[in-house]
Amino acid sequence: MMECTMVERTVLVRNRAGLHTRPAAMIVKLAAQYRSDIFLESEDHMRINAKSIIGVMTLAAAQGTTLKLIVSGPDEEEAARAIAELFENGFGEPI
Amino acid sequence: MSADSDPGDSRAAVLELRLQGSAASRGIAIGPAVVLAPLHRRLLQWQVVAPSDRSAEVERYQKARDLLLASIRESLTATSFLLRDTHAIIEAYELIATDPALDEAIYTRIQRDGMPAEVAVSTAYDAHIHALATATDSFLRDRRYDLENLRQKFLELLLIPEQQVEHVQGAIVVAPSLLATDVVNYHTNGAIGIVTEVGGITSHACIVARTLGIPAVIGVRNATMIIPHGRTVIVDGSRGTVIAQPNEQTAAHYCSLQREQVSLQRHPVPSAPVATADGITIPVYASVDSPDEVPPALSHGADGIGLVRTEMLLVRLQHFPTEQEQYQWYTMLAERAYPKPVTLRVFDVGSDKFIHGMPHEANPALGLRGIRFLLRRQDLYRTQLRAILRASEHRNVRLLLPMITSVEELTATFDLLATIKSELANTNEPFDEHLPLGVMIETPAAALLAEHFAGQVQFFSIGTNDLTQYTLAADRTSDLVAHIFDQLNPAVLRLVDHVARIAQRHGIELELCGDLATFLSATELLIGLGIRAFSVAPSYISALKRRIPTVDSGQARALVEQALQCRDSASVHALLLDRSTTLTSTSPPEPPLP
Repeated sequence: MMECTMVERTVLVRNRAGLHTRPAAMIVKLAAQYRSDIFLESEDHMRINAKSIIGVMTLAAAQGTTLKLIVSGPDEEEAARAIAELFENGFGEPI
Repeated sequence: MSADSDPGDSRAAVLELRLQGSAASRGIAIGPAVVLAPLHRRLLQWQVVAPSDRSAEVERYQKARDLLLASIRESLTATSFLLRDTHAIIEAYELIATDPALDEAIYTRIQRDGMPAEVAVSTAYDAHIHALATATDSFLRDRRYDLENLRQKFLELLLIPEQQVEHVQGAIVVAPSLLATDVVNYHTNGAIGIVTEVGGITSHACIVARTLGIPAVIGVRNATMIIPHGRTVIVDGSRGTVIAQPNEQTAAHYCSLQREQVSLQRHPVPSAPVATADGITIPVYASVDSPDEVPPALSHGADGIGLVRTEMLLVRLQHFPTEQEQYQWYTMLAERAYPKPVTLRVFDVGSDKFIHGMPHEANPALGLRGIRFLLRRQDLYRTQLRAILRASEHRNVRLLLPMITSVEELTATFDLLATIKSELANTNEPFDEHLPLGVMIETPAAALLAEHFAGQVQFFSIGTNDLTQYTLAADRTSDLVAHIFDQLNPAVLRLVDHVARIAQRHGIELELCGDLATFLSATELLIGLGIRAFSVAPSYISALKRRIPTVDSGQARALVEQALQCRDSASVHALLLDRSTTLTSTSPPEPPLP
């Protein structure tokens, strides 16, 4: 086993429509490409698996919501950067 | 029942059930109900599965999940090239069905808690549905319908192994809820209408229904309990009304409305123009988008082409076509219709009909569209007018101008035409010196100023879709104001009446294109108003040609006087309904289509 640290980042839901079906699908598809465990946690400490679309949708995060991104595993740095970027770009939707 | 054996009486005794939901997809469908029973009872009364049977239960769940995935993937293939938005939505369904967290939750419920598969699936989905239901954002809140739909589909696969999909041909599907994939599948298998108990009008199933053009009413509470399986149901997707076991009068009304939607090809259609009962000839033209549609239109009995939406050429080519490209296309249209007339409407583009490089406008319907765009880009306008003039050499081409609101727009066009004509004459190129010119009456301004156009053009073509939208200030693509958008509103009729009087005084041909032309219950009214030609989609021609000879223009005028005095759309509809039932009492209506 390799030694696992943990990466934490704060991400902001920037796109106008919030984390609806399509952005949720984008997160899940991207997360599935990494071996690390990837979680999103809401301000009220609800933590979900970012590889689960239903979990991401259940966050019901509207525009302006701040989430904690927690990644732990062999490719954690890379995974955290990629997912944070997706949030930063507003999922390619109007901001 | 009483001793009275009159069949009419016993039929009148059947109770008509009117249910109100939300209008989700426009149009009218009439057919037998296929009611997909709700599963509540099975889910409420269950017993713990014995530990030895739990592996079999897990297998049952996995089998249903595979079926669900297969059905989702089948829809993905079916929609891959057709519906881009739908495709993305169904892709998300695939991710939900394979969701690792959900899969684990269901597995645990079966193995550890001994739940039957359907109960495990239902409760696992429910946990997430409830979480979404409390979202403050309405778009996210509506997403729970996607989960509800998927759960429903899952349960149906678990509980009803043999899907009833083969039996929906010609039927109305009444279901607790439907997936976007179900709408695609039912549509493919011949279902003609949709009624559901839940759903928001922005839910994906509704978006798909609208894309496919299948009438749908959603949010009809307890629909699966109230609507009897196999009985006739009317779905009015424009008003959000569902009528089960309609009485004779209602059925007759909706049958006639429905006939207006559907192509009737059972009888040979006269290939010559037909006349009213009192001998006024009313040509019925076809509205088309390309030369390919001309031969089928003529075989449907078209007396010519009343509208070619030339902007479809732009959409096809994805660039502004050269004069030669346009000339060939217009010539093909003219030759295929010859000797019947072809009406070429110049490019009606605007930022709603996207052409690359056009400016974005917040309100495209009120922006730079139609003639306004062409006069701004006179290089393009000149090219098109030259191509049209050159294609007019057989003298069966007519020119039509969209979105006119002022006389200046007409004058500018005349100037361009005059220059081009002299150029063509100088190079000895043949063209029709007397190319008939018409203006679209589709804005209140054009209607009110018709007198000033009258001396300069040969025909008026009333576009009722836009005229209604602009008169009632109701976006015709918005469901939220669909109850206001009504082409029979007396405000619209008064404008038509005004234009008709001017057309008659100046001896100008008055035509009508747009959806209103396809409402057979309004044909008499329109002829009474002074409409002397219609242009409709080819599939409506035969029905309209059979309707026209039943109209007497004198009686029609009396109907017009009443309609013009109506205070609202509903009164006009009531008047027409009353009129159609008077007529059908003497001659029975045709039976509804199968």
